[in-house]
Amino acid sequence: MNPLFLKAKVKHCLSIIFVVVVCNCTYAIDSIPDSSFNEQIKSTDAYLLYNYTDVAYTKSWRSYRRHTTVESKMVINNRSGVEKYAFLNLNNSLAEQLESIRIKTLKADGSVLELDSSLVFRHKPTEGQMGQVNYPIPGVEPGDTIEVFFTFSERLEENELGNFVYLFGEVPSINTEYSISVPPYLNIKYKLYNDFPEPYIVTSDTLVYCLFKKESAFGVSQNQYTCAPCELPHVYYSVYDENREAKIWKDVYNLEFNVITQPLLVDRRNSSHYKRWKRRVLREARDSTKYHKLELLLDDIYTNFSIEPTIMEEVIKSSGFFIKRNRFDPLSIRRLYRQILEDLEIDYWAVFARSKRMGNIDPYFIRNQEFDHIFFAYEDDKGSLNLLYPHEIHFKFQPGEIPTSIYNTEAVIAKPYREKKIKRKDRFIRRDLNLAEVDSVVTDIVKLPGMDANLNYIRQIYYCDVDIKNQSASFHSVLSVSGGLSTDIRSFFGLLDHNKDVSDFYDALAEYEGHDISMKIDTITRIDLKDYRPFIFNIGAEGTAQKGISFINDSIVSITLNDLIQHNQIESEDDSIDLNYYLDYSFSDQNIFIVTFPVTIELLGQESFNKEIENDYGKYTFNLQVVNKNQLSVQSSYSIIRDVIPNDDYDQLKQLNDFLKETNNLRILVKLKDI
Amino acid sequence: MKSIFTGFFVLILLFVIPTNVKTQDIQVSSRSEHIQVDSDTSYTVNVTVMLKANSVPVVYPIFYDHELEQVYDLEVHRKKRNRFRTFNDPVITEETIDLDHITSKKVKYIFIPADTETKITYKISCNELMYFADLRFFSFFQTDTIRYRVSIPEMFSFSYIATHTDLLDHLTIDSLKTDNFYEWNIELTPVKVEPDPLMYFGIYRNRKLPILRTVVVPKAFKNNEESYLNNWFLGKSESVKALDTAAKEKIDELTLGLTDSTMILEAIYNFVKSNFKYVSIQIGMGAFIPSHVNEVFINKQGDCKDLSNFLCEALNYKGIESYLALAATYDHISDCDFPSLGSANHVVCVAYIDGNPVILDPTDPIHIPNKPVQSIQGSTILIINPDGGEYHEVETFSPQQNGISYEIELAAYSDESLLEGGFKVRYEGISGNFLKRTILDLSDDKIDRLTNQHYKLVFNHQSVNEIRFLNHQDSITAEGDLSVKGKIFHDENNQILFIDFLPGLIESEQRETLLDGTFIGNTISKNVKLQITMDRKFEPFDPVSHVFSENGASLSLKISNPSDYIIKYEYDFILDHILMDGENTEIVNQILNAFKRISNEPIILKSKS
Repeated sequence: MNPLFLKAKVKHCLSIIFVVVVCNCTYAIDSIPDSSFNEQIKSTDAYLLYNYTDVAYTKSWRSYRRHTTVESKMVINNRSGVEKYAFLNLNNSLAEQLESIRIKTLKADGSVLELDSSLVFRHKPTEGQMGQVNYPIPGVEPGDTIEVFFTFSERLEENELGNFVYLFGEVPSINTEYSISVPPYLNIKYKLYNDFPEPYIVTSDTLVYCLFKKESAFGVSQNQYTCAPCELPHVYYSVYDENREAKIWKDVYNLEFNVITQPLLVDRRNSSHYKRWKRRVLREARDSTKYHKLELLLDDIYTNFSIEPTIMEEVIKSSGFFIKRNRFDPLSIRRLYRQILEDLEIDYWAVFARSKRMGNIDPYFIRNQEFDHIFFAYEDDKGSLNLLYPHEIHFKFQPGEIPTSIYNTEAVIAKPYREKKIKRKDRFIRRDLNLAEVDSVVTDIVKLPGMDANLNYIRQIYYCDVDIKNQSASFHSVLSVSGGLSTDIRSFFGLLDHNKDVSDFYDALAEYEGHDISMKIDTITRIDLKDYRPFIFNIGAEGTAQKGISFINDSIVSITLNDLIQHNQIESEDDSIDLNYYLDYSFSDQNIFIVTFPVTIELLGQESFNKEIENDYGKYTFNLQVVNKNQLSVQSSYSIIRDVIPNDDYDQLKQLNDFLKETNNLRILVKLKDI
Repeated sequence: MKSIFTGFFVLILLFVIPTNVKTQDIQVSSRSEHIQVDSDTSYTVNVTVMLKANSVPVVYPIFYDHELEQVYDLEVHRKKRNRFRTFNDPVITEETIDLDHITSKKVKYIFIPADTETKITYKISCNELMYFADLRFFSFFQTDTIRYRVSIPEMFSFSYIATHTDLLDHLTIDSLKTDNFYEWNIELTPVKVEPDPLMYFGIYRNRKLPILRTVVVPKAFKNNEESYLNNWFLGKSESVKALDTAAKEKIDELTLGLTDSTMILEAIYNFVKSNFKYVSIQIGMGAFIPSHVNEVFINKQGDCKDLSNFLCEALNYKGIESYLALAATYDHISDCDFPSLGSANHVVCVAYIDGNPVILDPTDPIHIPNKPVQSIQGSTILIINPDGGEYHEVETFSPQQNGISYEIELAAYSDESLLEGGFKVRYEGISGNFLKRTILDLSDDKIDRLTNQHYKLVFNHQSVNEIRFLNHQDSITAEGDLSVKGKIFHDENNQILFIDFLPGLIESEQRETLLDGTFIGNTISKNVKLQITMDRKFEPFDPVSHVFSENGASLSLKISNPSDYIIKYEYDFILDHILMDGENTEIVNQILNAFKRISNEPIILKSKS
């Protein structure tokens, strides 16, 4: 993940928290019939009578200011609405910029109660401490209305003039407006997404005014799978000086790629370590192609270097410094990759990508700090584009492996336009700490690779041997994970390995949930990872079946499917969802059991069980049969074949999951013959 | 059931602060505290902490309440050549403790460099003697020795009670009298407390910690310390009473036409539970003393002490004698059986109807009068009254009062491996509270969905339909259709029946066995009757029964055949514990495992020709 993005993300998240909790804006869909909207505002915990946000940009000398006024009125319908919404929540950075605030409770009996805002600030987090102001709004009972008015002002850099306008929230809103006003020497450029209605625009000699407006906007609930920017109407606008050009990709390249990848040549003492390391690794490969050399170097990094958290004092250290210590951090590894690529004279691109559920990149309306993934791509001797994603603290990526959150997304690739070879002085940041900025870049749009359900799979195969004498069953098994599942599972293991708190939490969760292990592993026999797509990760094991296969008497064995079969379903607990589900990838999940008995067997009741359901989004098949007279073959396969499940078709996901549960509830009885 | 009155309890804060401080590997060779009580009822604590050298930099925290306590003379000394030298410019930051409630708690972080033996000294002073309420015999850091020295002027009496000291390897307590002081010297090897993430899931395993609860009272109150605490609390809360006209008018409006005390009590109690939101604001002494009743009425918010105080005043106004009571909830480190502020973490209201105490907890939205307050069942409360205070044992419903009865009738269609029929269930007492909490404030649609999901889980993912769920004030009833697939088989000689879809013993828990620290919430007496009418005759068999009984938990299970076609399966489960605390967990788990094993075993019926 792009380290610079964190700063932007924190800021973005905080403003989202603010918008959602305080403003509770609404989203704009024009085709909602009024009667159902009226139904919703009666049945929800609370609704907004109005919610107005007015933003004014000004320029003073070379600095810019954004002044924001927020006004809203929320009606609380019930006790749950009081518990959820009768609180003032402000992030600390916003609280620092507040100019005025007025919160009133308009009681159903006509009386008015005002929150003493000085109390709010008395209990805000200590200066310099991240946190939220969270203060109860007094006197709110079901039926009352909360009126909120506040203004705040921010000093902004030139590249921060702009914002997303998401007019959606978890409660419905009768009337929502967002206005932007700028003096005539500033321009507003905006773009509407997902059928956002055209704004109302007024210009005069002193003002440019732009109003986005929506009436009767439904409330929407979101969860880990939803992507509001992917489908909800929204706007992005930027404000720029009339004398300046709008942002171009060169700016993004310099500001967001160069800063975090350009190698340093500040501590010359350590630079020899880099050269020595390279010589050592490439000793046997002097005559190889540069691509093979790159492969060798990457392999050595993967095998011999750890990735540790960044230490502030080491931010300006060269690659040699880290090589000497057999460790890198998320910044220095990027600088090393670039240094290697440039040393080997491999033509490379910067890749700017955005996680799927954060919404698409708009390559034609260039915005900065919206890319949470910035990495490398290079063309090999066959002309194929290879992706090189830098290692993270918890996870080392194989060449060509990328985070699953950017599977199948569009990304922008950019590289400097050069007519001559790069000069050595432009390659490094030197003692003056000046970045060597590029003058122009060439760009392209690429679709990042993803894998389908055939490659994204988890497969568990158990070969069980039943011992009639001891009435027990032992097994040897192979767990194979591939594609996105391989990346995710290894990444999760890495997180548990590196973070004791997270590991303790998951241990506690596992203990709390208390799923008894049916197939107890005694020995891990092998672990291997294929370092090429689809990065198949295998774990071989041996053990004993604790549950799932049990003797009823000397001649009948019971198979409890619920104990044996464990699938990873996409959760579907709600009756309906407001927004589509966006999955990182489609996948399949197979459980196979081959149970071998020392005698001939037959199934009680019927000869075999075959169950299957298939719909537009997935498939579940269950097959159980006797093979070779003494073997029971059980195959259960759950697959999700699309990575987007529209909210209208959500019942198909439920249908699939319900069918799986029902099937797994079955008991199977096996009769042992000739004993 | 929100319980806040945690006040100064740093130990509670430490349980919930999600900071990486706790997970640091800080090694402390000794921590010494000298608590000096002054005659003006203020006290000062001189603290010296000796830290061993750590291989990585660490951050040492000092927690305090900036409204009640002053931290001063903070010095950091680093060891150089066998001598500690004052470190002139230590890195110290201060943060507000980020909790769900608004608080005056702060923490100073002292940055300790790697590979350095360090001595930290500081003083904390406080003007409120009642705030000196405990000495902790545990530590979140690896600490070799803790030494407490308590100096009390002879005009005061120092009382204490030690809890769970059996967990300590070393503890000595000595006292001596000097000219004008009594002095106690305590030395111990503290228990190291590991953070337990299970608390995020409502499992409290760290409850049993060694601690010395303390109280310092004027000598005149020696052996009558609860009266002193009672009078102190009464005195402090005197000024926050007296309802104004607006509040009285509202109470009159709510009780208009009601003459029966019970009905008046219910009307006011329901008003507070429904219209006041729970907000914990703990600033200085506000952590212990309620806000003014009129402020609470106007703001329609407060924590347990605020809401209970308003409720008491409202009831007193309507002529129902009511008092506040200090209490300790099930997850607190001790019972409220010693007159120290450290003993309590909750406040409730005790009203008297016909001379009988009725305990009311306005923070528990599903509690109704004359039923036990779930969070403090079986514990001790200290009723604060003008007669010097009174300890009272909170009622616990017996298992029989918390009855749950299931009746399930199914018909077998063995050719389709199908059992079909219906079920009825009734929850008495507070046995259905877990359901009442789940559906609280939900729309009818959501209640339908949730109850459907619940009974699907109860019947082990079988198909349930047409659930009719009724949430009465005193009980809950539900009935619905049940369809069970794949549990019945037959060959030429036998019919085989699995009954693993039967409701489990403890419905409020999803786990098959229980963890130490699990709060069940109520005692249980569960009776489940299953009757299956088979579609093929079978040979009669002698009834089979299993009985398990030990230390407040029992299971009696019987399988019989009243006729050639009918199988009857019945069990009675009784649990007379509400909290799994190690001693009873094993027994209960044995019963749960036995039940699981039996219900997994098939019933084999010999077919009758």
